Amino acid sequence: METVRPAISSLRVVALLIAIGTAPAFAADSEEIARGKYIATASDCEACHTQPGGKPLAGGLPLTSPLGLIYSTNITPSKQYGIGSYSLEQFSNALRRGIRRDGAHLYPAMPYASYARLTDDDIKALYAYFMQQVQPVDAPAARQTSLPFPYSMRFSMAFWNALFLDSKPFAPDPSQSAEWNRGKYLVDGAAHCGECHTPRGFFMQKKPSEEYGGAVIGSWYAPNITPDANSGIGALSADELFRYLKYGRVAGKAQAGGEMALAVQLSFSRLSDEDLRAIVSYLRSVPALTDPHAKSKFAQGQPFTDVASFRGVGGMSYDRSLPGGSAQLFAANCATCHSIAAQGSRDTYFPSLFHNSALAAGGGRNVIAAILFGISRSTTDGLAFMPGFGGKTTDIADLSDEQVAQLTNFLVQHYGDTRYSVTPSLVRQVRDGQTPAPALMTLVTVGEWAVGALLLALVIWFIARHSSRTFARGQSS
Amino acid sequence: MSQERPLNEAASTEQGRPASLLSRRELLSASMLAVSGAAIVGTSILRVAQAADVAAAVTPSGPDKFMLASSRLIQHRLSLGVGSRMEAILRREIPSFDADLDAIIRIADEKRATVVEEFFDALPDGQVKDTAHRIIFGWYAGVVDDSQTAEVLAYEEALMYQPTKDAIALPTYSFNGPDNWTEVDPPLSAMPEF
Repeated sequence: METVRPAISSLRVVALLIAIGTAPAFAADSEEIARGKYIATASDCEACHTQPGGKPLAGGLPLTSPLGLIYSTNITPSKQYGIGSYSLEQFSNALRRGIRRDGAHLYPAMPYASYARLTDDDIKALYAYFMQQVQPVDAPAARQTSLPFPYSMRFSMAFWNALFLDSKPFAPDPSQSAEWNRGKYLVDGAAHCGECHTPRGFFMQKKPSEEYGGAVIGSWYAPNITPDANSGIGALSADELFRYLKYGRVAGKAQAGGEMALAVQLSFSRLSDEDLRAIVSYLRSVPALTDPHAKSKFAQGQPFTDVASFRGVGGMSYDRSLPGGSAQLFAANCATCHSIAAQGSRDTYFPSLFHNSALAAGGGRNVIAAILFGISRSTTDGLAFMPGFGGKTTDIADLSDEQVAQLTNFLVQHYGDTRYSVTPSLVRQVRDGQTPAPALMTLVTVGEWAVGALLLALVIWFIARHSSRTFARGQSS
Repeated sequence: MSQERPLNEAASTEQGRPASLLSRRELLSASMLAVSGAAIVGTSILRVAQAADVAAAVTPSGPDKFMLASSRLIQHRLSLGVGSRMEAILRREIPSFDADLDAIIRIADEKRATVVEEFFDALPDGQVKDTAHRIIFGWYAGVVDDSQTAEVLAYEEALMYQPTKDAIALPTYSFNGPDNWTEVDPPLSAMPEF
C-alpha cells in the first residue's frame, strides 16, 4: 500500500530552514528555495519528470501525444545529463519559451505555454530550488524522445511558438481581488490546468475561445471546468471544489482519476488552503461554456438493479456466457463495492454511480478508463483505490473490449447520461491511451501519401519512357 | 405516494379505513406500496414505477395478480422482478394457483384487511392456505421451497435479510470502505424500513 504523502508541512519547512541555515555557501536564501519548491509542487514537475519508483525528477516517463510517445527528460542539476549547467536565463527560456540550453526546441508536451505566465521572481526561486536542493542524478533519462518525421523537426516548434506562444508573464488585474489574481496566476500558469482541460485546435494549440471547456487527453476526458451549471462545475459549491482539489473527491458527485488523481496527489493536495481557495475563486469566475444539450452532470440516473432477472439462473459456470448480460457483468464485477443498485457504500468510500459526473460527462470515456485502469489516489484523506479490470498483472479481472463496452453502456444507460453509448473500438482506443488523431496528423499522413504517390508516378514514368526508348532504339537498329 | 396512506399503525386501525370497497380497491391498485398500516415511510422510484404497472391493469392477471395477492400477504415493498420469477415457478408447481390467488385477494378484501393478520386465519385450510404460506416463504427466503433443487430467485432482495440490513452487511457486499472500524452500531430499537 502506498504511504500517504503529507502536504508541505511547516515541520518540513522548518527542517529545510535549519538545513539551509547551517550550510555555508548558498547563493539563494532558504526562503527563496522553499518558495521555489512550492512553485515546483504547484507546477507538478514530478508528475511527468519522476518515474513511479524512480529517482526524483530524473525523467524517462513516457507521455502519450497524438504524434507519438514523448519522454520526459532529466531535470536534476546533473551537469552532464540534467540541467546543472543551465544559467538562470537558459532555465527561464526552457520553462517559459520552450528552448533548451543547446537552442533546440521543446515539444509543447512540456507546458511552457502555461509556465510562460510564471513571474521572474518565481522563476528565480525555482532555479534556486532546482540547483541547490534537488539531488543531481548523473544518468540519462531511461529513454529519449524520437518522434517520426515530420514531427522530428524540432525547429518547426519555432513557428508554433511564433503563432501561439504568449510570452508575457502574469500581470495582476488591479480591478480584481488579490485572491482572484493569485488564483488566475496558479490556474493559467503553474498548475497549467488548460493543458488538459482546454481543447486544442488544428495545430494542437489551446483554443482561447474554449478555455477550460473540456477535452480528451490520452485515455481520459478532462471535463469542462468552467462555471456552467450543467456542463461545468457551477453546481458545486466553493467548499466542494476546495475539497475536490485537496482530497480528490466530492462524495457521490465527482472523483479524480487518471492524470487528475496524480495532479491532486502530487500537487493540489500539497498546496496551501489559501491557494486552493484562490484557484476555486478564479475558476468560478471564468466565462462559462455551455453544451446546450447537456443535462446536469451531478443529477443523472437513479438506484437501479436488474438482479432479479438472473439471480440463480443458469447455475454456476466457468464459461463467459452470462444469462443476465451486462446487468450481470455489473453485479459480478462492480456491485460488491458499489452495491447492487449502485448506491455506493455508506461511508461514501465507494461512490454511488448515479448522480456521479464520471458517468454523465465525457461520453463514457472516463467510465471505460476507470474500469480498465482503476483508481489510485493518495491524499491526507487516505488512499482511494479501485482495482483495474483491464487484464494487467495487478488487475482484478480481465474484461474484453466487448465486455467493457457492454458494462459501460449498462452504467451510462442506468446511472449516467442516456445519450451516450460506447463501442468496443473506443474501449480499444482508451486501452491504448490514444487521443483521437488531430486533423493536422491526417493531413500530414495524406501529404506523405501524396508525395509518395507522386514520386512513384515519376519513377514509373521514367522507367516507362526509358524502356520505350530502349525498345524504340532496338527497333531502329 | 398516496397522501391517504396511514402514517402509523394506530392511525390505520382507528380511522384509516377507506369509506367504501371501491375506493379501497382504487387505493390498493394505485399504490401497492400503500397497503400497509405499518410504519413504511420513504419511497423507491423503481417501485413506484412498478406500482404504476399494476395500476394499468384493469383486471390483473399473471404477475400483476400475483403481486396484488402478495401485497395482501406481506406489508413491505416488493420487487416486480422477483415477483415475476416466483409467479412463473409457482404457477408451474401449483395446479390451482390462479384460483388460490383469487381466493386470497377476495378474502382479504372481504375482511377489509390492512395487514395479513387480519385475514390470514380466514383462509380455508388446505390448498389456499398452503399457497399463501409458500408465497410468504418465497418472498422471505428467495426460494419457493427448502428442497436441494429449489431455484434461487432472490438474494439481495430476499426479505429475510432486510430487518438487519442496517447492522449486517449481506455477504459479498460492502458496508464501508476498507479498514473501516469506526462505525457505530445502529440502535436496535428501530427496524429498517423495507
